[in-house]
Amino acid sequence: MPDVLIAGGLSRWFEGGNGRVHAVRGASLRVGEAEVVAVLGRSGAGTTALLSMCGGLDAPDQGRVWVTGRDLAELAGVDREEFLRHTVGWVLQRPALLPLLTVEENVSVVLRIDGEPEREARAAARTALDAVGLRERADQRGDELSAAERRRAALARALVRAPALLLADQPTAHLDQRSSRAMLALLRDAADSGTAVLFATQDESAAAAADRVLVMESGALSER
Amino acid sequence: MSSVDPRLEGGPLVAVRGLACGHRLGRPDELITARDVDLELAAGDLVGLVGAGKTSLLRVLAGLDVPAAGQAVVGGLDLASATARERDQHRLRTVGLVAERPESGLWTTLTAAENVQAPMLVAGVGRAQRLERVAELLEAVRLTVRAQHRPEALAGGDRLRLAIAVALANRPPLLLVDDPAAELDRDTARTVLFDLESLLRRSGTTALIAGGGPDVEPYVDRLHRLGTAAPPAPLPLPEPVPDAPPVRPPTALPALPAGSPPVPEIRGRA
Repeated sequence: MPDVLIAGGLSRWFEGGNGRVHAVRGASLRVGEAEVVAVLGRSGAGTTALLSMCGGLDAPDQGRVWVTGRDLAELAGVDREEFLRHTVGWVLQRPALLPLLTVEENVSVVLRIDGEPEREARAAARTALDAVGLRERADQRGDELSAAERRRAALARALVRAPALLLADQPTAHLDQRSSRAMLALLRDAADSGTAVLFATQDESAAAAADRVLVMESGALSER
Repeated sequence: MSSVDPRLEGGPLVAVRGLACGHRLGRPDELITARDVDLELAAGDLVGLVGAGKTSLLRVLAGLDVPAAGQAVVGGLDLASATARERDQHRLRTVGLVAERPESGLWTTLTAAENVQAPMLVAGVGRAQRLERVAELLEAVRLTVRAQHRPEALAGGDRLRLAIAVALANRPPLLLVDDPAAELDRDTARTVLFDLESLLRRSGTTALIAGGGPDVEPYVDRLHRLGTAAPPAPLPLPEPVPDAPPVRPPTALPALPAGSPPVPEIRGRA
């Protein structure tokens, strides 16, 4: 199983009200193709900071991140944006959806930014929405979705590019049991098609759905 | 066709009469936040909105909620009776909306320039025109140097600037802005409002800016005060304080006396 994500010795400090906070302390991890890995940690444990660095949304103060063999530190400017966009998909806890656009438009626009023609982009968006069980919501406004549906829409938007790496921050937070299970099953589906999936969670039972669980405590990451 | 520019017809761009609106949670009567709203905006008007029910009114004008009663006409389109297709056109071309948490409408994985392009792609604007409009808007909101940055790399004030640029991308005749000062310090809010006003004046865009209290007043033509949402009540409601700085919702709401009417405004929808 080739490694899609390799992170080595990641550290991150933030300036806080009470001085410097060492949010991530020398974290290292690997996620392979078609693998689902959970990072289990309480709020404040540093999981969001860790994910941000793994997906290139934030740069580590120490350590390196390789995604599909590319060192993120060596990528800059437009190349970096292009690479990350095609390689890394995100499901954030509160995904952004333009309130006045339909759900389908919110998904297809991502492809159209890359120059995909409208018809193909729309068809791909429909397929992705279908895959996450939102077909019947495709014509509704981003604003009309529940929290669970917003995350599924974000997942559709991430998967529409078939990313090598999918990062999900608290994908099951505040979802009922059924929606939570459905979300985890969708992450598994993504992995089954070859994507490496890394998700952060505070919930033991969600973490149990992963192939491997890493535990994060006060910024330090360990295998369980 | 509903997209006829009302500026050419000489009528008001926005005409709201006897409108009641609220949050749609299945029992509309229980959640009415604004009643008897009468409001008229001519093309180019910049109006600040104070009082209870601001967000509800903006949502009706944006075509996201339907009125519980009364009439709301924007650009000649009666939003109470518009068809789904007319509503789609309305949301795409007639209005721009800047939500209270501007980042909720900004794509994390796209750059600032790409975020501004997104609504134009949906509206079918050609590439050359899109890029021209992006450059023009980013300059107008002073984000040219941030064009290749992603939203989370931007400070709060700059995110609001970017959300404004996104909302104006398709040149809507009406811009709706919900509580622009909510999450900003005063100085930042003022500089954004200053630039927003000049951008709106230059383009002749009509705008309704909800909340923001005294910070908004210098940048608008007038303030429109929404009345209290009190239905015939057995007990008098406390007077709202519309010009006070935005109040964060308390974690525990103070108990109302039995039989009180609903609290006039619901902030921070989940």
